[in-house]
Amino acid sequence: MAKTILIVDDVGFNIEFETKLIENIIKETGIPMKVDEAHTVEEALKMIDSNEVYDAMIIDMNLPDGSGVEIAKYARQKDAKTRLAALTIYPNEYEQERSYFDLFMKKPIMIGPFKQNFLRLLQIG
Amino acid sequence: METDEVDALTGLATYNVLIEYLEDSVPAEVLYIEIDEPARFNDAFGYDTDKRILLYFCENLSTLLDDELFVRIGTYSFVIAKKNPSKPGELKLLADKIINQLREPMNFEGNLLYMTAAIGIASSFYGFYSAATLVRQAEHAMKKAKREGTNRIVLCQENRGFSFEHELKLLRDIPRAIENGEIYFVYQGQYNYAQKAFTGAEMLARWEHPVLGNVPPDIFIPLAEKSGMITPLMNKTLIEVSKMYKKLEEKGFDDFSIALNLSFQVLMEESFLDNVTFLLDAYGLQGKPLTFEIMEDTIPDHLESFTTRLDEVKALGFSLAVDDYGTGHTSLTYLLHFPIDYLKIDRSFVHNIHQNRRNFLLFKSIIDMADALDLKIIAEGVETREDDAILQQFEDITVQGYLYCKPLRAEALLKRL
Repeated sequence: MAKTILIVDDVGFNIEFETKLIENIIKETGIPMKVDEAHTVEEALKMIDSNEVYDAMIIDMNLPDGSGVEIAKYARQKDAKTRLAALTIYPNEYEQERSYFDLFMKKPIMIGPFKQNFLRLLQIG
Repeated sequence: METDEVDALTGLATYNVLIEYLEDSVPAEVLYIEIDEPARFNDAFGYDTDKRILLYFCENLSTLLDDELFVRIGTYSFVIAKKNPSKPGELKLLADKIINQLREPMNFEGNLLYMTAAIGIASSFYGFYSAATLVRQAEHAMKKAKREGTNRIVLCQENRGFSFEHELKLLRDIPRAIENGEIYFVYQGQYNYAQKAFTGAEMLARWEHPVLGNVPPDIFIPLAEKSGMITPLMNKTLIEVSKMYKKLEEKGFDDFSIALNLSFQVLMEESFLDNVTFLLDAYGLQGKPLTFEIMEDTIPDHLESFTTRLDEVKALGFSLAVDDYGTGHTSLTYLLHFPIDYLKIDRSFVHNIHQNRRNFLLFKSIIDMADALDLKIIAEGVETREDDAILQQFEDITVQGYLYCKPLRAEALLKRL
């Protein structure tokens, strides 16, 4: 079964970049994955409602209609097994919110570290 | 006094004292002086001659001082700092006196020796800076003086408008600026005489900061290098280039080449090839006419890992250009060893070439050499019709400058082509 991933970011450039990196990881690992995208908190919550449980999410912390934490809480409620990564420029500012996420990923996205963290998120390798 | 406050050899104050002295004092001026290699006398007069020369120099210089702080800052370098000068450039008078003193032969244990030095001066009159920044500016000016010849004085008069505090803010804001498009790109067209057309463009980064306004690249690129943000910036640049190629192809410009600046630091990074390979692949940049420009003064003379890396970059299909050619200190031999395609002749050779015979001869000799080595030429800084008319004698070169095209946003450049 393909792994299902949800990327939440309001910057199109980031979504495109992350998607291409995941495509590259699919090619390298041979593991099939399906990537969905959302651009706001509202869109993300709808995606969580209307889909099967996601294997993993990469959530931008600073969204136009709220914080990534809201999405993380909502996803956890639906299923505790979903692996959650926060994506932020300033990880230090979210010390209080660390517990909602399995890991923090730094922006701007760096190619090598993103790939490593993504595999960690999916608990592969 | 603590040992980190007094220099053991000369008894002068140290850098720590200097910073404390300058802290919070505005206005202030800093004179940075470096003596040219006193160690060269060691062979003739004994191994510690340089040390004795330094002491002699300090003693002489002290006689010229009033209430300034005199500091030893490096092996052969010193700083003189003045608080509350009455007007900008007050230390320039002192600098003149020092140079006059140096012009007199030094009676050194019965031998007459000539010492030379370079002096740089920075002043807080041209913008408020932290003490450390002021000293750094003076050092920078000193290095410029050294490049200009011996016994020269250079005043750092640039008011960059960015204080140390602003720089901290910029450092913090760079990651956001890369993501949200505050840092954006412009293209300066490159015109080829033989083809009578724009055949390429150099891509340049710009930063429009919401509070501080336009931040020049010579400020934010070093900050990006310092903060590890230079690689994400290069990634963004390559992604942007891929979009530009799509637009160019839609308009039928298939061979249009785009050059981007590559910092030595990024190039030599371990992950560089992996990153670039990923981007080429993911963003459809394979086989596109892309050139990396490397500034001449960052090119090392002999470095095997550097040559190897250039070969690897070439193998990926990139061309390589030496930027600001003629301004660096590198030896000519690198042109033979490094797999370079283009020389971008620095604007200082091009400026006023119609009046300056020396510039013309230098330019011509670079072209002759480039021909012999099979390198293509791009002349930078073509800004007047007069200079352009002279350059047109060299038929197959490419020119870049405001006369042909100023740096434009992607859409504006596409309209110009």
